[in-house]
Amino acid sequence: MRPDEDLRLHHWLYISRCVVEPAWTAAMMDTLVAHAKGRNASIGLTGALLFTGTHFLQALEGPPTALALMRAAIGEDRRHTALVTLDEGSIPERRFAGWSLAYAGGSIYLANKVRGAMDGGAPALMHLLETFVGSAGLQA
Amino acid sequence: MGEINVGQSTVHIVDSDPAHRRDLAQMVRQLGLDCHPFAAFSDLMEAMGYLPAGCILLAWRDRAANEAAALGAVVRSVLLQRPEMAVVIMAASPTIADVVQALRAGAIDFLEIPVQTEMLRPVLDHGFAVLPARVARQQRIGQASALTTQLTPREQEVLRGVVAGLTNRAIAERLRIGVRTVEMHRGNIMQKLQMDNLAALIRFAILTGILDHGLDAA
Ligand SMILES: Cc1cc2nc3c(=O)[nH]c(=O)nc-3n(C[C@H](O)[C@H](O)[C@H](O)COP(=O)(O)O)c2cc1C
Repeated sequence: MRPDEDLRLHHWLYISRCVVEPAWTAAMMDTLVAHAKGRNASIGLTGALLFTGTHFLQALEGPPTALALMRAAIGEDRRHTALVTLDEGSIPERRFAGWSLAYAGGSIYLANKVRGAMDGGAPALMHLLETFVGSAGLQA
Repeated sequence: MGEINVGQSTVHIVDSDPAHRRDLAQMVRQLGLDCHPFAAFSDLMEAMGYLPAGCILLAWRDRAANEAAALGAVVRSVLLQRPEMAVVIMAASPTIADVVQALRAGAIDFLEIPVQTEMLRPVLDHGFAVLPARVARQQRIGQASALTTQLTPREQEVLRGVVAGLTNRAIAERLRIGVRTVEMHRGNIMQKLQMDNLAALIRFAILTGILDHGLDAA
C-alpha cells in the first residue's frame, strides 16, 4: 500500500429500513452499537448512526478500503433492507471526531424529517447527524 | 414516591397563546383524551407533584430571549420531577438545533406550531405507547431507592466499590478498613437489598443511579 493511500478519506451516507420486530429493536441497538463502537474505532471509521424506530440513517467516513469493506458488511446485514445511498465519495477532512449513536427513539417528527429529506436532502441529514453528536452548547 | 397515578390518558397542555391552547385542548378532547391546560410553564411546575402521568405538550415560544440550550433545560426540569412523563415540545418554525436539543434532553417527540390534528394524533399515540414502560421503570426505581435508604453510609460506599468492579481488597484499602469487614458489609448489602447475585446487584445499582455519583476513580 502506498503511504498516501492511507491518508485519503471517503465517506458514505445512507438510509435503510429496519426489518427487526419493534419488540426487539432496543436489544438490537444495544448489540449493534456495542459492536460498531469498538470495530469502527479499530479500523479508523468515524460517523454517526440514527435510528427512528423504522429507519436507519448513518454517516461513515474513513480510509477507502476500510469503508468499502464495512459497506459490504452493512449491505449484507439482514436486520435492514431497502438501503439507499444518499451521498458518497472522497472528502477533504472528517466531519465526525468519533463514531457514536446520534439518536435512537420513536420520534414521529424526526422520522418524518428523515424520510422527507431523502431526495436531495443529504446536506440537511448530515447537518442533523452533526447537530446530534456535536457537543457545542448541547449538554448544558 | 408512592404509586404513580396513570389515570385516564391525560394530556397536559402548556401554551401561553390562548387561541392555540384552546384549539389544542379541543383536538385532545376530540381524540377522547383528558386534558389539563396551563397558561404558563410555572403553573405546570407548581402542579407537577400531583398531576397524573401522561403526555405534556409544551409550547416553546420565548426563543428570542433564549438559546436552544434553554429548551433543553426546560425539558430536563420537567423530567427531573416526573421522569415518567412523555414530554412533547411544540415550536413555530423550529431549527434542527431546537429539535435535537429537545430530544437529547429527553423529550419523546416534537410538533410544529400551529399543531394540526393529523400530526397530533400519531405523536400522542407514540406518547401513550411509551408511557406504561416509563411509569413501570419509575416505580422500580422508587422501590429500589427505598431499599437503598436502608443501607448505612458505609454500606453504600462499599456498594459503589463493588459496582465499580473493585476487588474486596481494593475497597478495603480505599475505605481503610479490613478485607473481612468489606466481606461482612457485602453480605449485609445483599441481604438488605434482597439480592442473591452480583449481576442483580449491578442492575439494581445502574437503575438507581448509584453509579452516577459513584467512585471518582477513573
Ligand atoms: C444499520 C446498521 C448499521 C451498522 N453499522 C455498523 C458500523 O458502523 N460498524 C460495524 O462494525 N458494524 C455495523 N453494523 C453491523 C454490520 O452490518 C455487521 O453485522 C458487522 O460488521 C459484522 O461484524 P463481524 O464481521 O465482526 O461479525 C451495522 C448494521 C446495521 C443494520
